[in-house]
Amino acid sequence: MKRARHLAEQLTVDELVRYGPLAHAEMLVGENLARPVSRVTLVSELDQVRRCGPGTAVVLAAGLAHGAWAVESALRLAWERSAACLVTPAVPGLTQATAQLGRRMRLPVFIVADDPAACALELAAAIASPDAARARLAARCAELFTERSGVRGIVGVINAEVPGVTVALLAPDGHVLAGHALTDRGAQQLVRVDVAGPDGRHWAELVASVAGRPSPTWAETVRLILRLARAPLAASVARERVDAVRDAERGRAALAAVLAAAGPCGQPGRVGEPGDPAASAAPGGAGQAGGVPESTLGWRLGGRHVAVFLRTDPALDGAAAAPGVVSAWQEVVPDLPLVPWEAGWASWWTGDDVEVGQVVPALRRALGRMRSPVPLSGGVGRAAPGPEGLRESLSQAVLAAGVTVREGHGAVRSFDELGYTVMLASLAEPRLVRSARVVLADLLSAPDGPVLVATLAALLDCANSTSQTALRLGVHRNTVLGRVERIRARGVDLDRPDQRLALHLACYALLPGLGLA
Amino acid sequence: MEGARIGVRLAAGQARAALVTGAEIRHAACPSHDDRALVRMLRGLARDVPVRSVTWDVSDELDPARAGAPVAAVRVMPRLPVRGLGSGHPSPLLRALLRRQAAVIGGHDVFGVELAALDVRRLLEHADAAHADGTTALAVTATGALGCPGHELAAAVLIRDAFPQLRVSLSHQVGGLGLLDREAATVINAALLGTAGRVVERCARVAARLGASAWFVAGDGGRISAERLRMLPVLGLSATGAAALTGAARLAGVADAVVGLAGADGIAVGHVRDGLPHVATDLPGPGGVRMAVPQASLTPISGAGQAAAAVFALLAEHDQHTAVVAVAVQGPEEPDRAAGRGAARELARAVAARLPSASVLVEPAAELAAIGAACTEPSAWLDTILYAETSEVLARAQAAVEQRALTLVAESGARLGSERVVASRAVPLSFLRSGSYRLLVRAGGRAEDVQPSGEPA
Amino acid sequence: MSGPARPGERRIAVEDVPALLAGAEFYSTSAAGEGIEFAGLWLEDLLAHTGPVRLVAAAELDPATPCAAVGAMGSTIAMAELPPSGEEAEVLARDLAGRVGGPLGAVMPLNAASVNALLPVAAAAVLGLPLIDCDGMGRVFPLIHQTTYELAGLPLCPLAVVSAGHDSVLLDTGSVRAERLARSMAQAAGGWLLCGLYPTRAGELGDAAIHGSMSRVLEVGRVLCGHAAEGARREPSAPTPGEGRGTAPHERLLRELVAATGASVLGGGRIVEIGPSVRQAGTVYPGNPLGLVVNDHDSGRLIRLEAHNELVLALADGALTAAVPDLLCLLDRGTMRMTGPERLSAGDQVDVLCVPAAPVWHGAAGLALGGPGAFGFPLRHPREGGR
Repeated sequence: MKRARHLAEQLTVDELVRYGPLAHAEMLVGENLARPVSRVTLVSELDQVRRCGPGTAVVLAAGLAHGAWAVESALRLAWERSAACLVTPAVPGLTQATAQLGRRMRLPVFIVADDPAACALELAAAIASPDAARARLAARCAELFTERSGVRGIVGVINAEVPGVTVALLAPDGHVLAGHALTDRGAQQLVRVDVAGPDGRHWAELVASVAGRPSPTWAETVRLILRLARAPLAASVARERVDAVRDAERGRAALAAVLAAAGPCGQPGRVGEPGDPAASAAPGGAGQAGGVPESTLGWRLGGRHVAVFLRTDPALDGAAAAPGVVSAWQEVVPDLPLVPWEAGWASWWTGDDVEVGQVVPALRRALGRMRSPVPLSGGVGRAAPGPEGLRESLSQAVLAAGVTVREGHGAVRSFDELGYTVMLASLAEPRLVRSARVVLADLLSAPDGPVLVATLAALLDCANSTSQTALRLGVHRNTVLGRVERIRARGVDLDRPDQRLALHLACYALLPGLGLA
Repeated sequence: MEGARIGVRLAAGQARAALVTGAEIRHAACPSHDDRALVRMLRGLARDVPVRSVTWDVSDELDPARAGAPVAAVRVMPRLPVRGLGSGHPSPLLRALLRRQAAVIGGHDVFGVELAALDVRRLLEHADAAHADGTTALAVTATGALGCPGHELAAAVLIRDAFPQLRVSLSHQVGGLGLLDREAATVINAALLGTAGRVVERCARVAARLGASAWFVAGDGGRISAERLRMLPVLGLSATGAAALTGAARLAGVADAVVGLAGADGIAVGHVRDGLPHVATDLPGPGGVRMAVPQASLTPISGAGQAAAAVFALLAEHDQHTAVVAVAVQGPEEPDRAAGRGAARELARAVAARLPSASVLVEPAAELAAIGAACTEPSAWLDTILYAETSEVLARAQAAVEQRALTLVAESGARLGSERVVASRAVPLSFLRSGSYRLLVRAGGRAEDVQPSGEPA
Repeated sequence: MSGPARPGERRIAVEDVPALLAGAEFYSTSAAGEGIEFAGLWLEDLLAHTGPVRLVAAAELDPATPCAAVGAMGSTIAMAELPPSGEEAEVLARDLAGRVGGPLGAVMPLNAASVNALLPVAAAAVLGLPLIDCDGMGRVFPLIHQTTYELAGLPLCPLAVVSAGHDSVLLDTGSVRAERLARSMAQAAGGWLLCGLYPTRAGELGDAAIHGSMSRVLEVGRVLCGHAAEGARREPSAPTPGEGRGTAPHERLLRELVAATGASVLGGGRIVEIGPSVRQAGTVYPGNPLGLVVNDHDSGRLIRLEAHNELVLALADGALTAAVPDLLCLLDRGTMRMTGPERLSAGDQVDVLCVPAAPVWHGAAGLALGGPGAFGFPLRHPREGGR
């Protein structure tokens, strides 16, 4: 039906506020702004309100401003007629009681300082041609895009400026790169636009969810705005990638220099500060790294540190994921550096009273919230002072991460918690693995060989206690007993003390390659 | 040099005094009939501290029923009442005080326009008759005297010339709008002139022995001079409640409060704004007579313990100002008051237990009204009608009335520059042309004798 | 006047004055009833001299009995400052007698509310005439021709007025002009006038008056006085500023008032706003408008009251629920007395009552003369049926 189509393309009250004639009105009641406005009526007598249709913007003429009672009467009548909003001239006595009434009726109320008749005319013009109003909105967004530098800033412009629209930038796998995750509420209308990366290939997708009733013209406006965002996004992504790679390299070099300098005679304090002896007197230009002083990286090297080390599944390409991991980290923990280091990423908490007990849960929370492109787990070192302490703590964190990486995404363990077993985790050395495969060939050849190896490792960890092992593995004790029977059937003797160490080592050497989660 | 202030309440044969300095409060009591004992007590109270002022609450001494001075009332109005209709007052107190009542032609309307010329001949005839039958006080009440006091002032001059022995009270100096209420106040005032003269003279004498000036607490909680009380004793009535409110707020360290005065048998609730008790003019005065004179309004909540406490707590909860509960019975030196004091303290504590934490419980070491008396400051109150076509004219007229109130405050011994308007309200009058307003103005100030550093916090 | 009361005869005597005063306050729509206690003192003294006044129904009188309405116009504060001398009614009676062809045989109230519930009693007492138990408004209206007498077509004039300064005038003109001329005279002559108007015959009052008005005022007054006396006796077990539980004293008083007047309670609760309203340009009404908002405790609705000398409108959540000519009044829960905007401030607790006007006021002519439109409010009265 023609009329229905027309209704669907109406401006909402919110749109009239954001970029329409109500932008300069005082909003007395800001409820229910998503109502579409079908028409405007300028009323000079209260009775005229009774004749308004649903969705009308009711504008009270200056002559009707008899007092708060008149505005409240009009408010009531407008509410009874399902009006979209009420616009009134400033009236003495129009205060909190009126606002309270408007809020209870969920009817937006605006106070205009100028002649309400002029406001009614502008409203009528805007409502008559929503396109003109929307073109102004698109132009404003385009202008704001150029002022924002980051991907998130550009997506944020759309979320902030376009009423009723929630937009997200999604990676091909559905991962949210920027913006608000879209909640799936069926009734929403979705507008999608492809975004190319700096290399011109498909990189991501901008998806906007449009609230309210479906409206083809409004969807077109949103699509136009999303298209306008593509070029700035591509440019920005290119810039961010280059920046990320460069930052990562700078960070790695700086950290290497710091840790090298901290070696035997590391000095506490903030490296690189003017007048700091460490900045100029440290051997080998330790205060400088690749020509970059740490101060410009914003690092604090004095005080107590607790280092953390993040690792991903060795089977995945960590290097390719690096920019994504770093940016995801910075989204969640913006004030701490994340530096590519060895096979993962290093960071550290600093503070006079920082404790491992705080860092472990903090890191766990951070990993839970990070939108990382690859699964991550983390190890946490001990607390220790100064750059030297940082070096030690980082080494411990790296070892601990060697354990957590087997436990899957989100796992966080501290060096202290793991104890000496961290050493076992670093045994995946090729020669050792080869020997282990030979030694445990019988066990591995079983149909559930990897499971049996893992069970054996756990059993040895738990000093042959089957109940503890069951707990550790999350299975019933009878299951463990069954496996132990099968392990024994494959010729493994668990009761020979002289064999235990070798057996334990062999299990650990094999574990990383078993492909068990 | 820093000076202390002393407040004294004379009641029931006792003088209870409190000395208030910036740092401490001292108290003492003695029988009130002996001047020398009084001086001794006040000197003992002062010890080494110089005393700047002694402020007296003498409302118990000013009992019109015991004044024993018959009064002649003359009402000035444009038409004499037919057969005396509508001119009597039902109050037994007034009937007892009035020896004769008469009316003469004259008066103004509420806007100050003369309605009839003053009938001088009849006025003097009435004065002569009053003089002849031994009446010593005359109350003159002219209609419209607040808008234009011309006829009352003229009457006063004429009568004093002809009968210098007659003491004259003029209604426009005594009270506010409403002829009957104001006349009642003027009659009571006239009846009290003799008593007031004696009381004032004595209080001034005692204060002078300490080298201090004497002041008096008014029923509105303000401080008035000896001269003013001598002339307008009606202002000194019902001062004890007002002084207690002032004292409670000062001890609590707040300028705005809802105050509960806990007595042995209930709580009286009043309000303090800007250090002055809230007043009303339509409260019953002595003998239940309404007087059109501002009085601190105290609403009694009777009933002991939890019931009264609950009501006050509810009131306090809905008041934007700090709630203050004060034990308003004092006098441990008298065994017969000790029980009442214990009950009052218990009640005050029961109330305080129900109040929010920002509230204050005041358990004064001395008679609360005496402390309040020491802390009273000059104030003034005006009630008038004016006509203003536009809001600008109204603002100007209102400013003029406020200025008059400030001048009155200054005349009551306020330090120059300390005068301020506490409340100023223009109420439109019903059923008259738009622009007719009744104007109520209250002003206050700081007494000259207080050094800023010496003020109690 | 007159010796001992005959059986069945109704009288208003000195001891009835407190109830009369309280009832007069109730029917004065709040603002106009302020500060009228002086009139009680005045009337008591006057009745003590003259003896009681006989209260009669119009039908009890010979239909040919000449009678006229008596009432004051102007400011009650001005009258408190300059009370009537008592002689005014005699001036009015003399002036009117010359025009109605004989001395008056009875007096009726112009409106049985505020001071005008007391002044006709005084007039009847001074003149030694019976007082007819009726009135022409059933409340206070600001203009002297807003009466049921007017609606019935009785001529307002000749209008006899006498001022505070005993200037007297006999006006012969139309009702509206008579009101205007007298009003400006009231301002110039000291703030109030006593009027004698609508001279007629007792037999003409059948449809022209609201009958039983004085009795109703007395009845309501007795309810209010009873509560005041009870409150004084009762060692107030707390005037439970009523948050529900049990039956708060104000609820009992409300119930009795409702029973006595046929009123409905629009709501009750705390005043959340009070302040000046917009001045109505070009209105003929003196005084300054005020607005106040009561947050109804039970329903949470906002009741907005517009006052212009008296309470004119009540809107609940923006919907007009009561309006002139129906009587709106406020009961102060704290003092258990009728109250008005000038005595109230934000935070006070009040109950809002609406007493329906006499049926004649709800006709088209009645609403035109005394409805919201007559007060400059472009609203339809709730009884007019809105849509």
